[in-house]
Amino acid sequence: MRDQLAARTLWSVCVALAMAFALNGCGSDASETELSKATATFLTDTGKKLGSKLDGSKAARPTGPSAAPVDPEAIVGKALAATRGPIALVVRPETKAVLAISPVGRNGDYVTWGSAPGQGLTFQRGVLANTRGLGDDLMASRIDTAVSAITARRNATYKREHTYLGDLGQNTSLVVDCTLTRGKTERVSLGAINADAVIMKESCRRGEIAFNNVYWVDGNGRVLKSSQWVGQRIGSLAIQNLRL
Amino acid sequence: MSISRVDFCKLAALGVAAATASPAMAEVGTLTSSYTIYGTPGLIAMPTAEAAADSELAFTYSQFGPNANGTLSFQITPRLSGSFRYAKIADFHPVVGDYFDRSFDIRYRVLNESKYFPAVSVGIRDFIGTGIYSSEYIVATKSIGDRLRVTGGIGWGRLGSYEPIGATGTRPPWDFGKGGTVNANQWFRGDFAPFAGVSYKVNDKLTLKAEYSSDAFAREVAAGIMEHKSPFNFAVDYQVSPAIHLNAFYLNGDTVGANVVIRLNPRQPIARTGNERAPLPVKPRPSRSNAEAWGTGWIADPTNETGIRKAVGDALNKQGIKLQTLALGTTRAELKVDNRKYYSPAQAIGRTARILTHAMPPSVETFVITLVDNGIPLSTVTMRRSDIERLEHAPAIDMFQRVSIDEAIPRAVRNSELARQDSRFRWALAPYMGLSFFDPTSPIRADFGLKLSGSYEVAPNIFLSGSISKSIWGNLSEDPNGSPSALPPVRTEAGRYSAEGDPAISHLTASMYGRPGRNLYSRVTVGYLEKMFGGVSAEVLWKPVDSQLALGAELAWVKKRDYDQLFGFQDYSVVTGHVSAYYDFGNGFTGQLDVGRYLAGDYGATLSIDRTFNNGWKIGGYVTKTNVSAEDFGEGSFDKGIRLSIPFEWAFGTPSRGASNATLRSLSRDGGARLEVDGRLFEWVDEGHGDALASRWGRFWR
Repeated sequence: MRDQLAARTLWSVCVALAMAFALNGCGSDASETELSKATATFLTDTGKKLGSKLDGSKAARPTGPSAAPVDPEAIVGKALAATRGPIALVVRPETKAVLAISPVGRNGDYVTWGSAPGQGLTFQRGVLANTRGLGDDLMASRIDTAVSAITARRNATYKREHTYLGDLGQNTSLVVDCTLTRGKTERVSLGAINADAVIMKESCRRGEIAFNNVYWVDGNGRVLKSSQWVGQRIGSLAIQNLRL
Repeated sequence: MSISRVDFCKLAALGVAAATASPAMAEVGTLTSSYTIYGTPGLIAMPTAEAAADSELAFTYSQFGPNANGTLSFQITPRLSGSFRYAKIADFHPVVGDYFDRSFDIRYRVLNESKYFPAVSVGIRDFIGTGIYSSEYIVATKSIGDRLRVTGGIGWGRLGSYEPIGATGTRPPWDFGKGGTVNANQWFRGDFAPFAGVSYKVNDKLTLKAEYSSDAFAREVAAGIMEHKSPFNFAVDYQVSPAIHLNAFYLNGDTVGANVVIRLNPRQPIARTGNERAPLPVKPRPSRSNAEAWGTGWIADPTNETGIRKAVGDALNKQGIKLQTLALGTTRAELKVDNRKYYSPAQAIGRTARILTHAMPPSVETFVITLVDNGIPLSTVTMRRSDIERLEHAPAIDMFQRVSIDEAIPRAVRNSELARQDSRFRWALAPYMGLSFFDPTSPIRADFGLKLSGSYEVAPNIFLSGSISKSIWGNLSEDPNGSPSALPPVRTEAGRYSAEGDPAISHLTASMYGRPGRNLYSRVTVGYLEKMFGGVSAEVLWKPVDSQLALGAELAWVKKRDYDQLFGFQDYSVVTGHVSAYYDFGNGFTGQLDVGRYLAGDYGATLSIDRTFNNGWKIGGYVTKTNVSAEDFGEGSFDKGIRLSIPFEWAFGTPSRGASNATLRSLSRDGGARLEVDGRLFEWVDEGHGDALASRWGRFWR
């Protein structure tokens, strides 16, 4: 009898302890805990969203890893101090989310830049070639003609081919017709960058999909800053080099 | 043996082409997002010739007067849709009281709308079941402009009950019986009556609907629970969000009601995909002219190999991939990896290959990566390192054309292949939820509690596994006696198991997996296999790496467990087993046929058909018919159900191999009941074979 009672007490203690940590799921076997974890995250997120709605704050909340820049100067200073090598800031204008990125890999003409939270952007001589970790990424592109015209700062017309993942995970390709026009020259001065650059405007269209990219290209064919389109769901990114 | 390149190019090309429509699934036009009070695409109570978007899955809950129903509708193909409904009519029967009813509907788009002609559909409501909603109809719908749609049709059965204008033969009287039989002898028989309606889309959110109904609600009126004052019904459909619609309606000039519709589509993920950390970029090798770097002297020093193995193992571990073995030659690296994270096996392979470009000396040119699961090698992807370097930023299809996918060589698994001591024991403590549906006295029962589970890897292919569950809240145990059964009670005592098994050992097993030969896979599991049975189960599967067909056989001897679900057994034991054929029709449909002996000792077969999507969604149905008569089987006459599998990756956007699975079966009875055992071969072997690689290859560079 006493044994039974003890057993029961033991169970209650176990269950109470278990409840405390386990509604969230814990342990080393991820396959068993992921649903409860994901559900908990989902509920917390929904709660936060609801909270912000109830606050009456209508401004779109940044979804990215860092909040809206309070003081651009401070962010630039902090970013420059973080590394001695090249560094750039990426802003998603829609959400005001800011990422600091620096080079993590080079393969021929392609340089892959990474952020601390794990996003990756690959540029082909300064022109965005693909993205990772943003969600609904630009998976790949064929943009050789665009890249040579942009870096040579000349007028041109050409096609760009973008590859995305469709909703079933399949490859979908988007081919757009583009016109590149050379604009005026402007001084670009931010962070460790201070140089004259020609503004190159690229307008692309295919059916109802249309976007504009802008590149500030210096005399060495380097893209100092730019606004580049990723895809229909992400929209454009503003990319600002602070040190090359 | 190399995979047939033609087939998979076709598949991959299909992936490219399938941006808007899936193969052989042409658009049919005249689509709708409006659902009826019975949860089918249409107006208010009347059907239309409209169809839902292909592969749309809609859950509807409606309430009007004494009626409440929950319905699951699925647009099986662009033309064909099916619905399953569970309804309650309060105070319907003077003796029984509340009436519960399960019904299935099916409808088919015969003609698509053209410039001058309307779309035409034919449908049957409640074609298996007790038949309270039994009706058949032919209906036409024409769009006038973008906003207005006009519908007219004729109906039989319930839809021919108000002001019939003629009759085709006589309809047999309503049979308040066991249900479960296809009532084909009454289709399109008896009185028929016209119906009509209009819908007007005011804006993207708001649609107004009105109809002249041919349903007199005769049985509800006779039971004195509804009135029928007018044939005209009106409704407002409001789209709260793309996924959620609310309808308010006024029926029969007497009754108000409302419903909520939740629409999901496998083609429209809830979360954006690809939030996982970016992969490590490829590290290209130094120029060929650097003869020193390209030398092969490193192989002579065995510490190099140990160092490389550790570096690769650690890097893979961070990505959620387990390195099982690594063998090095001067120009070749062979690995076995266990992908525990990514739904796309190609994504795991791609990440592995990129890690190898950092760890392998330049002279290693060929990467041979074998996918293993449960310690068993499944398929082998062979690639050239120069292709990895050259195609890193090209579309994934370019790489696909350069690799070869073969069956992994079957050979004995060695104990030395236990790579990481620290991951041999795994455990988890997580909440669980159990559901039981369609008990006549309580349609939904639930149980919520905590489950502690653990597994230990004795050898790469031998596992000890167990779990204990403790209920915290639930009413599954409210029915400890179960319903009477003419068969050995193998499943109908679920309530008693829930009541007495608290805490319960949900399972406690030892299992061993193997590769007895080419294209062959095996499993033996011993122990407390599931909640109600313990014993031994053995299975063998034949499945070539690139085959659409697989064959399997399973044999088990099991004994019924004690209700307390600890270590004891009851008197009942049975030999059960099946031979199975699995076939992938290649157009998004897969089928499975199991023939054999079931838990109650009955002989028969189960046929399952699923529609599967490359992102992991599965929606399907199954029927089991055994040599048990409909009377002995009890309510429902035979076992049938709908099953649904929603991948976590689709729902949450983070990489995962997991999925949420649900089976809706008409009442769990003792006939046609199958043993439940973890690790059945087909489900995980198929996930590591050619089709899974090819159809999800788009994520190779993810």
